[in-house]
Amino acid sequence: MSAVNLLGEDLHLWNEYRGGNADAFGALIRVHYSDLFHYGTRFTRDAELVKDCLQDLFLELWINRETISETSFVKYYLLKALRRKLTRRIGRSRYTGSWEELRFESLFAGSQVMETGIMREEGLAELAKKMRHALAGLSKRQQEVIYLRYYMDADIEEIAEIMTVNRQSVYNLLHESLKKLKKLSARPSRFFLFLPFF
Amino acid sequence: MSTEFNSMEDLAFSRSFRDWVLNREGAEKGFWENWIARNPDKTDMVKYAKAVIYALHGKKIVLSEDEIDEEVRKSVARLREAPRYIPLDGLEGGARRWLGLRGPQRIWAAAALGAALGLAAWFFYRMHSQRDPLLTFLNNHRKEAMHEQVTDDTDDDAFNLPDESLVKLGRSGKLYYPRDWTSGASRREVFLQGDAFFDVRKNQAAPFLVYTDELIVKALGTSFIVRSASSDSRPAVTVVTGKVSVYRRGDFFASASVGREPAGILLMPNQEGIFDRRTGRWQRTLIGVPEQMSEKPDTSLVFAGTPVREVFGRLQELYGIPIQYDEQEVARCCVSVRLGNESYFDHLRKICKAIGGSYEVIDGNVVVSAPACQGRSGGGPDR
Repeated sequence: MSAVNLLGEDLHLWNEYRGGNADAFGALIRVHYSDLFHYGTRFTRDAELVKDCLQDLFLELWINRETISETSFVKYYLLKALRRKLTRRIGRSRYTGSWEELRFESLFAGSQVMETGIMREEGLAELAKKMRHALAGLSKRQQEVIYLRYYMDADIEEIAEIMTVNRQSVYNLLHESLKKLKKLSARPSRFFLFLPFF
Repeated sequence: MSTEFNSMEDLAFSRSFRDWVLNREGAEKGFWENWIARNPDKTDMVKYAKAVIYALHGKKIVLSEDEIDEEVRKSVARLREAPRYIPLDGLEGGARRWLGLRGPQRIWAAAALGAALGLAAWFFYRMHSQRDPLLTFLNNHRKEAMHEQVTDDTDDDAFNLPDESLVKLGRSGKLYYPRDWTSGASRREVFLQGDAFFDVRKNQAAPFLVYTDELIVKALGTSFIVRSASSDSRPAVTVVTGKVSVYRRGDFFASASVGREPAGILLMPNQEGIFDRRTGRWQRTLIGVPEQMSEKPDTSLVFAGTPVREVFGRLQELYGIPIQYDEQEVARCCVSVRLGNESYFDHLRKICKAIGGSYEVIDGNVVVSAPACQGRSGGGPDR
C-alpha cells in the first residue's frame, strides 16, 4: 500500500460521494473514522459527543454534497470540518477557555512513556522520558501541531489548513517545539542543521 | 519510498520508520535494518528519532473495528433519510413557479398565504400584549439606552457587557442589555432569548440578573450557562464556577411584591437545574461529564492510606460537587487510590470499589454509602 494509491482511492470515493453515491461515502467515512475519532477525543473526554459530532458532520456533508468542492486532501478536509464542529459544540455546551479556541488535551502530560522490550538500548528510555516531559510543557497549539504532524501525517500546509492559521505560524510552532527537544540532546547540532519540511 | 533521511525529523515523522520502531516485525523490517547498517554515521540520529517516537507515543483511545462499523452504519442510515439539498437559486425558481401556477393551485397558495398572515398577526399581538416578559423588561428599563445583540442561526458571538462581564451568545440568540451601567446601579439586569454562557464580573453591590421568558437567574460573580429554551426543550441552568440562584419568573415577582426572599434553588458548580413545565418543579442534577473548576485540572491524584474523608474533601474542592456521607461510617476508613485522567464518575467508582461502598446522585449531590468500610484500614492500592 503506498500513500499515493491511498490518495487516489480517497479522491475517487470523494468524487463518487459528490455525485450522490452513499456507499462510496460510507466507505470514505470508514477509512477515516478512526483518525477523526482520535483527533476529536483530543478536545473532549466525552467520546459520545465526538461520535455525535461526527454523525452530524457526515450528515451535513451529505446534504451539501453538490456544493462541496473537489479536494485531493480528503482526510484533512474532514479533520478541519470536525475541528470546526467541535469548536462550536464544545464552545456552546461547556464554554471554557476562550470562545474560539478548543482546549487541545495533551497526550503527553501525566502518563508514562510506553515501556517496551525494544527500549533496552542504552539511555533511550531516559531520553524519551525527558522528551515527554518537554512535550508536556509545550503550548496547546504546539502540541496540536506536533500531534497532527505525527499522528495524522499532515504536512505544514495541511496543518495550517486544519487549524485555520497561516503556514508561517505552523512552521514557527513546529520549529520552536523541535528546538526544545533539541536542547535535550548532548550533541544536537548535527541533527538540526536544517529543517527540510517543505 | 524515499530514502533521503537526513534529519531526526525525517525519521521521526516517517510512518515507515515509526512502524518499524514500534513494531519490529513490520513490513519494512529489512529496509530499516539495512539502512541503519549502511549509515553508521547516523547512529545518534536514529537513537534520537526513536526517543522522540517513544515520547510522542501516547495511549490511544481507540474504538474497536466493530464499534467503527456500527458508527458508520448508523451514519449511512441517517443519510438515506436526509432531505435533498435545495440549490441556492431555489428562491428565484420558486417565484417563477408561483407565476406559472394554474387556477386551483393559486387558490390554495393564496389560502396558505392568508393563514400565514393570520399567524403573523397573532404573534404580533402576543409580542405586544402586557404579559410578554420581554416587553415588561424593556418597559422597566425604558429610561436606559438598550442594546440588542443578535446572533443568526449559523453563528455564535462572544462580547463584553458594560461591566466587563463576558457573554457568549449561542446561535439564534438575543440579549438585551443597557448600554451603560452607572457605577451606582443596584442591579445588573439583562434579558435573554436563546442560550448563553455568562462569566460575570464580581460585584457584591450589584447582583447580576438574567431574565428569560420563564426563569430568572441571579449571580454575584460566577460563570454559568442559561438555556432559555424554545418550546421543544426544557429551560435549564448549568453552573461552571461559583454559585447561582434560579427562580421561576412567577415566584420571583410574587415574593418581590410582598418583600420576601423568593423561593428558588441554589446551584453549585457542575450542577444543573432543569425546570419541568408540566409539573412546575425544579429538578437538580449533575451534568453528564463534571469537570474540575480550575483552568488547569489536576489529573494525577494519588492517595496512599489517606482517610477517605480527605479524599472526598479534595474531590469536592476540585469539582465543587457536594459529597454526602455518614461521618461515623467512614470515620476510620482509609484508602489508597490513584485517580488519573478518567472522568469524575470513574473517580467515584474507583474509590467506592476500594472502600467496598457505593454512591448515588441525589438532588445534585453525591451520596456515598460504605458500611463495609468501618474499622478497615482501606482498600488495597488500585492501579
